Amino acid sequence: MDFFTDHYNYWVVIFLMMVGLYTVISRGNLIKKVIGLNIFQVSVFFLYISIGTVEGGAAPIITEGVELYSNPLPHVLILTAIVVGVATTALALALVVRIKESYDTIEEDEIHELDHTL
Amino acid sequence: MPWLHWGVIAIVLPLAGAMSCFLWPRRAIPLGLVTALGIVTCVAGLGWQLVEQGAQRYAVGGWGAPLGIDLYADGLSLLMLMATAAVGLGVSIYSIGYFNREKARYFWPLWMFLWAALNALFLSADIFNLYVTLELLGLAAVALVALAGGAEALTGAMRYLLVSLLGSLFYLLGVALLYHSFGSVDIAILAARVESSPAVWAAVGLISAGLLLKTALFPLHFWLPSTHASAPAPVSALLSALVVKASFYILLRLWLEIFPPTSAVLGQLLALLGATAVLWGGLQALRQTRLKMLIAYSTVAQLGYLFLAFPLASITGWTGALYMLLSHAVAKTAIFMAAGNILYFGGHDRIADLDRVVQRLPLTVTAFALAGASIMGLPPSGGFIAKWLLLEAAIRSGQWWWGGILILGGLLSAAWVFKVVGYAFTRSRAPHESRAVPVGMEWSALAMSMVAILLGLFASWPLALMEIGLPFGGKGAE
Repeated sequence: MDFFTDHYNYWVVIFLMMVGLYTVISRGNLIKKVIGLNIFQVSVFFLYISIGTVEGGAAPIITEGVELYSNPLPHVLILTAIVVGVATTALALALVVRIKESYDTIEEDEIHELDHTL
Repeated sequence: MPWLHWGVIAIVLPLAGAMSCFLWPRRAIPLGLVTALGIVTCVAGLGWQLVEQGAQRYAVGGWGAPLGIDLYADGLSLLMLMATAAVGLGVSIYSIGYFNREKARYFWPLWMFLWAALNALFLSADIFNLYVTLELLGLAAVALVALAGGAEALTGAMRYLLVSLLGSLFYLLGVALLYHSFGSVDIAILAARVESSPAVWAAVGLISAGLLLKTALFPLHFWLPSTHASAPAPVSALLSALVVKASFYILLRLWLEIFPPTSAVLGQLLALLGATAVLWGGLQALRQTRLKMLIAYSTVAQLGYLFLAFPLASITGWTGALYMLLSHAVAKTAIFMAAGNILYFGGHDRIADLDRVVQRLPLTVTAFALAGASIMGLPPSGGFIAKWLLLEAAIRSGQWWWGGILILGGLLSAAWVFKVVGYAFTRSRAPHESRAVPVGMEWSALAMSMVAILLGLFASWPLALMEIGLPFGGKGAE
């Protein structure tokens, strides 16, 4: 049991990752695919942040009387990755809007059918 | 450290160029061209600096690794930067004629962002920075594919975006495992600390899977042909010549520096997939009826050659793969430009209806044939030198069968080049209306194909530049 509770952050990450990956692969709706990718992305972010934790460590802001801090580097890295993630999501949504305008649908199988009949 | 000016400027200049093209869309073309010339000068300056002083490392903002971000330039980065500069200059000139005013104002900022991302990627010395540049590259590339505007291009761009994001996320996950195990993201520090452990193997698997997806190695190539074929011609050239090579560069760099030396099985697997890609891509290319689709499948095949070097693991093998990368970048740019000219001229790219295009666009067809000779690996071209080096490495390491793949792949390439050139001479049933192709587009295609041939005639210069900082030394020399 300890094996599960001690590493619960990994289990959360793995669960979210699988949900995200499954959504990207199984869903035909482009918006759902983008959301699935986002969930996948967030799970990777969680992994980074949780491995930055130091047991008993405080938030990495220098305070008097505190000796032990969490590792701030993963936070910095993920801050960058979040910005990148926002940009890619915005681009994905913009493309979905244009696809909706061209095909009048955002379902992948319907788009394929329209491609063949064009 | 004087080199830092060149390296840092090569990243900052295209960023500044992108912003100014975006802010002054009416002046986008002259601004973009000035920036392109500036970048070429920077890369030349950096090359001169490296020749004089050897490989260089620079801590951005004065913060060294492990806290800060380092830039690192050696022969491998330099040649990638030079290939980017050569292709970039050609595509910049080509695009003046290709895009109308409306499209040009979107093309230039995005293209400058793409160039900045490429330069930053080739100079990065830490694996997280590589992730960021990879994403920047993906963003700019996807937007450029969508620039064609048609329904086909939009779905192509969407598919590309999903694949590209998924690939970078796998890479990011691998980086997390490496960082967790060794407490650093700097390549040099990781190289010193790395040792074989399950976490490292998981990281190697994730990073390789992500990068192979982005490099479109068989069987992960499914997204490439439609995306590369549906993009505008200058963009197709950039994607095939540079963007897929960028993720290959990361894989090569990590393979040489970080991955545990016992990855021989993985090397054999990569080469096997590469060999399949060469044959499958070549056969698929022959079956295509549309010119751009054919060229895109040929890219799948040519990417396969790059992976043949992994089991050989000798300096000659790596040099051959890198030379293949360079000559393919230049030759494929010329071929996509030629295809773009034909499409511009006749309004279609059906191979069977090329309709004596050789008499009307002689320069374009010459460019196509010359670049085709390099793709086939005929002497004296860059492709020939690359295949020769790979063949030598294969025979010397006793794995002659990879050499057989090289020859078969060359025959398949020859078949499609002759097929296209053959149709260029014949008359089609229905004559087509046509519009004149701007002179710059024809000459830039020809110039790129000449560079592909010159790479074969003056091979000793790039080969000497590759040795700066011994990127293939150490582990590769075993």
